[in-house]
Amino acid sequence: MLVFIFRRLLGILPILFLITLAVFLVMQVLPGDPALMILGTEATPEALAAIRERLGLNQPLYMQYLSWIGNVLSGDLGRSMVDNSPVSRAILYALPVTLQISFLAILIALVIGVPAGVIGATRRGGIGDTVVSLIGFSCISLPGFWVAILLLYVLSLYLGWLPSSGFVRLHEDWIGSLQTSIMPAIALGLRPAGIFMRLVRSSMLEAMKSDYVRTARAKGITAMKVTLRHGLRTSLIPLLTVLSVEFAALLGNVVVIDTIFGLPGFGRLIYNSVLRLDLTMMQSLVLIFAVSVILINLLTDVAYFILDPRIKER
Amino acid sequence: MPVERNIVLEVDNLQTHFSTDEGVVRAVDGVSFQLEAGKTLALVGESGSGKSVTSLSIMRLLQKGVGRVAGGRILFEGRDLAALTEPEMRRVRGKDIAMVFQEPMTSLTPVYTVGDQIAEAIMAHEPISKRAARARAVELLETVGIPEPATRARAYPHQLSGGMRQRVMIAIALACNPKVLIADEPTTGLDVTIQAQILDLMRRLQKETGMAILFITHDLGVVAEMADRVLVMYAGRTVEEAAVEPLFGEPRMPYTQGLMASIPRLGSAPEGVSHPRLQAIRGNIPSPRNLPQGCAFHPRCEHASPDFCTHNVPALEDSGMGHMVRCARWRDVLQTAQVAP
Ligand SMILES: Nc1ncnc2c1ncn2[C@@H]1O[C@H](COP(=O)(O)OP(=O)(O)OP(=O)(O)O)[C@@H](O)[C@H]1O
Ligand SMILES: [Mg+2]
Repeated sequence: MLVFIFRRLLGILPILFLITLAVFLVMQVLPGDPALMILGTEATPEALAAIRERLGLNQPLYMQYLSWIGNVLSGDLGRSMVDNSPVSRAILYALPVTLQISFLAILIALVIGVPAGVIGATRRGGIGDTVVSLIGFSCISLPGFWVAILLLYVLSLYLGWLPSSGFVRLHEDWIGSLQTSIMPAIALGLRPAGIFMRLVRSSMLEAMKSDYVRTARAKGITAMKVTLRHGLRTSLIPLLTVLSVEFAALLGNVVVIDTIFGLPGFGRLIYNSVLRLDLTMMQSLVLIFAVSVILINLLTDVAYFILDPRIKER
Repeated sequence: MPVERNIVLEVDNLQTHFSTDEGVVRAVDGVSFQLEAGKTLALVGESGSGKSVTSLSIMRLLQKGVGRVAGGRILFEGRDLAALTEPEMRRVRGKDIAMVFQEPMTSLTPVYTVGDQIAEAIMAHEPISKRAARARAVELLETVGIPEPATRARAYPHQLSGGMRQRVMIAIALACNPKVLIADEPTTGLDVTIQAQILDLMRRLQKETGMAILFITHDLGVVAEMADRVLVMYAGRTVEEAAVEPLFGEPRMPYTQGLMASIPRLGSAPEGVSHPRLQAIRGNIPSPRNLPQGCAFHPRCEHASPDFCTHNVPALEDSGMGHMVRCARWRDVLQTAQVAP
């Protein structure tokens, strides 16, 4: 197990290198002189030269890259070009918000999607199946922002059950925290819920026709055990692939959700940094997104390893 | 004077239908037989003749909503299985009647160890702790001739060969000492040496436990080795049924004769090559969707008479000493066979 994870980590190193290089180069190519951007167009040439010196902008590119990587590795992501505050502080402030919302969203998606998929597969062609298919289809086709606005309207404005914006942190007040994160999480999680539902339904239908499910039935174990232990258990393996893809996709949707619900998460950081052309911030955010996707993939591989004994051979 | 017989399973006029897009398919149409404790009945016939459907009907494992037992009785020790509720039937499966399937490569769940899969079969019917069930699983692996059973119990199916997996399947089937074992082509896909080992194993286990075996196969060579009685199926019906010696010595239905003629002679198959699938009879087995008028076999039959066989379905009749034949012309067929060298 540890050897497996170690090998995966080794495999990730070149990918990380390429990603950091790409992020770095793209930022170099973007129009705009950071020195000018910081000091404004009326700056004197001496001042510009001084700040270039300080930022290391007149060093060769590879030196700039190396020093950037060195800083990133030591946790220093640079300073915002807008207000000169450390980027890492802003990110550490936003990260828990986005993590909490995304994990809650995936949890909701699993809690809804998996049982619904099982019901769809076991009641194939019946009313349960029709209802599940209909819900699954709606979940996938309704846009997240629309669901978000609908939720806001009904649960906050009309019923007044939940606060309409803002975020309470988990360690401050966990009930309040749940209240502020439940609506964004639903809005984010509905699409993956629909996708999980359909995937579990179709792979379970396949599994229930398989020879090993027939063997399980021939043993005389209960129908429930046949469905869950043999049908569902083997369907979790394809679910895993989709889960990791959906998680990554979800991270991309936080911009809209943060904006609608006024959350101080990653989405807001992205939004602000783009509006204000805060290059250092953007660079760091892109890097963090890329690293998160890699981490998710690593976790997925580890989960495969646990769920599917056939992987150990390779 | 009938001899005392201990009949554990009796199938009486079984009818199994599938609803398909093209209408109802009568995959099994009026099959009857009796299975005695400690004895083996072989079910033979070409592909598509309804052998597997017969066995799945007995176990009530037909795909729900598609296949159903439409008529007849399936009596296990006098109880009609066709009339049981699903929870009652569940207690029969694996406990009273167990089954070994055709495909050892895909019949085990890939994500559990074989030991756990055997233990699951035990725990389905006995109040026993998981530890005790696992220990029994190891004993069962030893019984079916798997070396280092304690280690192998922790192996996953993909780590075992086809022959080993089929032994595991047999161990699962034996887990609760069933009175009837249904083996649906348990050796197809395995090479000849392994085939012989599996057959030996089944014979030995039958002697030890006294279970009855319903042995399904294409391979008449295997039938001669394994069976006490033989039932030949064609297009969902019984066409001949007899004890092994009379059936092999004097087959009375032209179809059975065709099957016999297609057995490779001893030694004719090269070492390590399994018997080829039966195909020596000209023509193909008709689709049960679209059976010919009259005797279902007449288009392929050398003895078919244009007047009778093409219009009338012959009855299954006793041609003497319980040798059942479904052929209007069996007497003539028998004569020609005796005249011929
Ligand atoms: N799920 C199904 N839906 C429709 N028809 C079916 C289905 N399963 C079986 N049948 C019909 O039942 C007939 C008999 O099939 P069966 O599997 O019993 O043949 P078999 O004698 O076991 O052949 P084989 O030697 O190839 O295993 C088939 O020809 C097919 O027409
Ligand atoms: Mg079959």
